[in-house]
Amino acid sequence: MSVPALKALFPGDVQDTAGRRAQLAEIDASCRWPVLYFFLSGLGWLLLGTLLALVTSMKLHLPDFLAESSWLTFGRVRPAHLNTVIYGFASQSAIGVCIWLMCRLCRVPLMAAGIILAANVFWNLGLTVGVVGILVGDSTAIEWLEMPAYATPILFFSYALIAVWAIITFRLRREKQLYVSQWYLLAALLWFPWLYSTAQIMLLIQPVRGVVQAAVNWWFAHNVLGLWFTPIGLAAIYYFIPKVIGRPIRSYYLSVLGFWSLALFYNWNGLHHLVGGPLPAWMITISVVASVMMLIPVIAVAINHHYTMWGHFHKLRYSPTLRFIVVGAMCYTLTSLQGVASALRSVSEVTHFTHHTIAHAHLGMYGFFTMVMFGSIYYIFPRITLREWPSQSLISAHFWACLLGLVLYVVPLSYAGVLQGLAMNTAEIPFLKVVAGTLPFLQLRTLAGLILAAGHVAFFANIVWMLCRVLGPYQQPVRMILTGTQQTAVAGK
Amino acid sequence: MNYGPLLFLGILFTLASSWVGLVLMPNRQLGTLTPHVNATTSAIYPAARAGEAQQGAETYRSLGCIYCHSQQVRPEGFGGDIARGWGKRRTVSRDYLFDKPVQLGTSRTGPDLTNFGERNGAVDWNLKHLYNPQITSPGSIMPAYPFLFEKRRIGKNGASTNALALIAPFAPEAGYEIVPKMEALQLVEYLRSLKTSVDLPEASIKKTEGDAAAPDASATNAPTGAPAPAPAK
Amino acid sequence: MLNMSLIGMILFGSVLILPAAALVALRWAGRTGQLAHAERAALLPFDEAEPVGLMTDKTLGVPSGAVNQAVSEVTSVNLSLNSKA
Repeated sequence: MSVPALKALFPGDVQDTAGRRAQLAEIDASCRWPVLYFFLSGLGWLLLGTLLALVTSMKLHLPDFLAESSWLTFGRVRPAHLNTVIYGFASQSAIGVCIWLMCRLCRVPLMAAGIILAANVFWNLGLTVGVVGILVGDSTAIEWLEMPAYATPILFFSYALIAVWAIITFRLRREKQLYVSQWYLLAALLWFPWLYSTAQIMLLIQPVRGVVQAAVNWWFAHNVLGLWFTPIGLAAIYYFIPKVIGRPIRSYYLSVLGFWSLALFYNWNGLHHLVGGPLPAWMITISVVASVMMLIPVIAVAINHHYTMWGHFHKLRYSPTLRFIVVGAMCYTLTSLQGVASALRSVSEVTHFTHHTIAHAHLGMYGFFTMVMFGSIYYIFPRITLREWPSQSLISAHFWACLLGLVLYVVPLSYAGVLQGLAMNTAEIPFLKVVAGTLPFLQLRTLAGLILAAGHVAFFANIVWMLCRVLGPYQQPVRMILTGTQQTAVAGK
Repeated sequence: MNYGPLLFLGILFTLASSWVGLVLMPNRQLGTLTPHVNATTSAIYPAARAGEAQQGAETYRSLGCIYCHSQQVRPEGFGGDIARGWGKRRTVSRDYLFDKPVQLGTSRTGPDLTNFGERNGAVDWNLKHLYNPQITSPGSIMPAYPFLFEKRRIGKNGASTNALALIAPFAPEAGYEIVPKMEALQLVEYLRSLKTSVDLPEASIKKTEGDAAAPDASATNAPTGAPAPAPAK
Repeated sequence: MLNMSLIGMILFGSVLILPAAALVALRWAGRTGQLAHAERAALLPFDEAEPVGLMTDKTLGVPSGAVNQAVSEVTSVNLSLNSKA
């Protein structure tokens, strides 16, 4: 169907309250199954990824644990963990959030749900093939691109379906004006295929020569964070903080500055992972400079998010979405500042090659991105299923376990990394003594992982409970929009 | 900013800039790098790895050794790499010409392996280390790789020549022996092949009086100076 | 300056030209009213059904008594969702 023909299906936008409410309800209902599939399969991978994380963590202080099996050796479980949580959980929940936000902000119901469902099937298929490939020994040993060359094209195809869908939705939007979240979403959707195809071609299909591989590898890997997860995470924050507290973002100008400075600088950051490495100095220096320039978008975004929240912190009591998203926004600021510092040569000399980097990665991918995704899911899930969250205690348990686990993970391990780096740079300290010094922190990390896992189980239990209700009779969702008679009026039957 | 096409162009141009700068330019500068030929000896460095060591590189990749071991030596005075004896000079682009994939690594949960073959080429030590690191490096957190070895009953002709000489508590029960599989031998050959101490125009080895001395024992968790016997085959 | 390579000259030139272009663009945007509507875009997440000032999530901390009362107050708007879902 041509674009004008499709546009004819959606004539002028509604203007009145009842019409708006009907529109919101219609959009949410149209997103139900596609978004649900992405969330649920993402959660499945989260549980598997958490299990792999615990095994990985335990192996670092109990090296004999599960050592008999080649499938479960450290060097395979670790990339299997990374790929399940990055491409399984994080990417799939990101796509779910992306679909819902796109529909809401474009003010069109989800069209061509078949494309989305097909994409979901292919994504999970590609991922299953890829993760099993890693475990049987076909890992490429290229960080963030470990899935073997026979799995990644399936993922790319699935991805292409989603990008095509998003561009169609974008072109058919009823609301012509663009909100800042849409820029970020659109950018992420266009950046990722470029990154992923370049990396696949230059590293897996026709590998480039020597250390050019390392340059492409880190250009890709850092941009997966910077140009795929970060924009989607920021898009969600820019939408949910104002939406939940009922106040527009503080400065729209700042958000423009934040977006374009992120677009300009972030994609040059990757080679700071190679400080001291065997590449010409100009490549690494340019990435270090770009990393410091990241202060501009980070500070712009931080001022905007935190200033918008100012005076509304009491609302954290009522909204799980707000709790997770605000913690996520704070972690974004923290992890970005930590990242700028770690890119400096003098800091990198100590922290590179240590557990500090691992702590930093988890502050970013868990503290920032995963928390934002949890928050978004808490908001979207009841609206697309028209069911309340069954248990408030499970929500609280999930939140506090995540927060406690996160602090217990990131703070000690960041500190341990600095100690480890200082000791490693002192040649007189025997290497095994350096290793012994990290052991208590590695044990603490397993404890932190167990707490996070408990939080995930609480979350999963609440979701399963809710799904039982989805299959059961319709209930009026009240708590999520309990603001008076008018607002509680979303009804069904 | 309500102009979709403008937004679209901006999004593409920003990424295009770093794609040119950090992907195409490095490829242009380094993609045509060639091995160095020594003017006096005509020795070529680096040389592509021979069969067994190349097979071992595949095992190294498959087992994910990269997640704990780096293969890069940072310059003198930047970190403790050279002081620890991990290399005599910093590594440069040319050192990795034939590596597929290049496994620089980002973690040093274990020691750097760039010049492991120079430090510790003893096959016997390496096999025991792979079978159970506690034999050779008590306190190490490296996992054991028992699946690279075969435990078999000692036959009528007595123990195999390539069986590991193990003592309690690591030895198997009486009547059994531990024999390395092909992958273990290949992996050890690969580790023994890790050597970069060749003078290059862009990275020369500093000549010092201590040049002939063995590297500092603190550099590695392996005993130094062990003689390298012929590979067990 | 005489020994400056081509790349150096391009870099030096862009350092001068790019900020100048940005300033011209900003001036143009300000003069032609491109920025006047910018702050209005901040209102896009809101609409008549969920206006500014309305908190849209109170999943936690609401006693069930209040919930029951709210349920009884609901004026049901029939949207026949199930037919569309």
